[in-house]
Amino acid sequence: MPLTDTAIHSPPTSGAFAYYPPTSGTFQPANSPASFPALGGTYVDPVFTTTIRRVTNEYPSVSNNFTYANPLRWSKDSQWFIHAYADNTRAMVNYLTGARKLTPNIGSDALQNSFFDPTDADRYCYFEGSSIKYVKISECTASAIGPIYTLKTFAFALDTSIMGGSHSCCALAVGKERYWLIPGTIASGGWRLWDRISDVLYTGSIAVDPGASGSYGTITPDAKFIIMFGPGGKVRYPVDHVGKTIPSTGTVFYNDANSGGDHGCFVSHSNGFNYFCRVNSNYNPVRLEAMRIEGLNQAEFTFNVPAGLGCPYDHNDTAPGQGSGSNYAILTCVVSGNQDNCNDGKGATNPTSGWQLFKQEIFAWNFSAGTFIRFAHHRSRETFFYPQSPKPSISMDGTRVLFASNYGGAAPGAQYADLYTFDTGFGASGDTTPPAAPLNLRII
Amino acid sequence: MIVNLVWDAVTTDLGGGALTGLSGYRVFHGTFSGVYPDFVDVSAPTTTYTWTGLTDYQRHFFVVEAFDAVPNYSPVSNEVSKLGPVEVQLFGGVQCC
Repeated sequence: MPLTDTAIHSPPTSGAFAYYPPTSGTFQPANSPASFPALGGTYVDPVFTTTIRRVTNEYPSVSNNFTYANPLRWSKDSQWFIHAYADNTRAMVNYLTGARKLTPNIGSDALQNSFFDPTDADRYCYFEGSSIKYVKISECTASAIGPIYTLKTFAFALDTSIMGGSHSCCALAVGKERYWLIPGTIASGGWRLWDRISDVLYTGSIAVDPGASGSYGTITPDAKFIIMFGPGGKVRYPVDHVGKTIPSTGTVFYNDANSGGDHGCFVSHSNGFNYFCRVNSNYNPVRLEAMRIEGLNQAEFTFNVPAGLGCPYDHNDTAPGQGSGSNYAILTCVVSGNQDNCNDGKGATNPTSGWQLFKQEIFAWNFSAGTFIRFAHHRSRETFFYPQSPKPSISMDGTRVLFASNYGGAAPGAQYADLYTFDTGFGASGDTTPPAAPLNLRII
Repeated sequence: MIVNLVWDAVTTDLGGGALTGLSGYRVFHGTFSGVYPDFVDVSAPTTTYTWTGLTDYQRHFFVVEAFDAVPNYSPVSNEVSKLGPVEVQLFGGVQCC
């Protein structure tokens, strides 16, 4: 079982999984110790006890990975995730073995415009022109891309250049996966909402330029709100599912000027409200926060990390939408910036001295209960570059997490990383049928 | 006052299919029929619960529901009730002398 406490846990400095010193014999791919897993191999995190699987082997290439926190990097059944290999091959990768199936290469930024179909476990989709295209996983192989199909062609042009990397374009909660946010170009009216099951395009559009710097869109897991990230803050647009329409104007729910772009995740909580959750490094100490969307700057739940890090925290955050983990935000803390200032890299000083709570961790925060599940140290260091940032992505049913790490195994400044997966222990759920009522209650 | 409650284990879902992943039962209590402001969760497969600390001189009402890991909650069971011990005062004539 992963740890659930709030004590400081540094990685070990000796033994088979030594984090320090970062030279010969330490746990990193550069040194090929016996303890470091090969492709498809595993190790058990020596602190948190989670079993970690290595699912790519690209050392020492410059990584192209684009995990980036979006649950729809995963197939609906949590068997496959999408990956851009260092040689620019695009493939679906098996979570357990690292085996791959080729997919269309749809452009340099295209992974953020592609997604697995949350209503169909056999489909991988992407935006192209005015259409949503897809391939069937079952028809793709390690050497050939399967036939390409058209799922839907709209009467307006799609902006296929940017969807925002961190968030799903589809609602994720059970029964809500049918609602898809469609990125129409600003010239064609902007964002739309499409019911993928009944093939109904909601009336109305949101004319926020999806191509503008810092502007991204998503939809909450329960499909109650479309969310836009922009220079003015984070804006909610309530969806009218009765009238099947979306409003053209929204309401700012969070106007933090340094709100971290689109980093963060959305939780449709069982209490009926929606929350935007993230590690907010604009505070000292660093603050975990769950902002209620149905409000303004309403940090309904916060957790101040004691003795905040002495250098910038970056973060990427993800949330599943379904299953027993659906009230959790899965957060990661990344020490970014200069390695010497952060005492975090390959310097002579033992970087585990003065280790801090959640540093280099991937952990789940049940913000309403105030509890944590701490899965693993991601061990990615010198995270100047996105490929080296862990960017964990949880599958939509909450059962698995994908993350990137270099495990310290690259020369300073090199952009090597590989991908790893682990099981969260959260139960999947497509089950919406409750138990029968207990019978024969009696007093004895 | 103490009330010992027992119920039959739930083995099917609401549609009559086999139930997997039953997590437990939620036992509700109130002092008005149909209104249950207090509850306690009992992990499956336990199907008994002893509610303690109930006030005397009052009727107490109970129902129970089942829930799975999602959690999905079942409809509630039948309601049962019990009246706490009532103090009986006997008034008699005054005996004198």
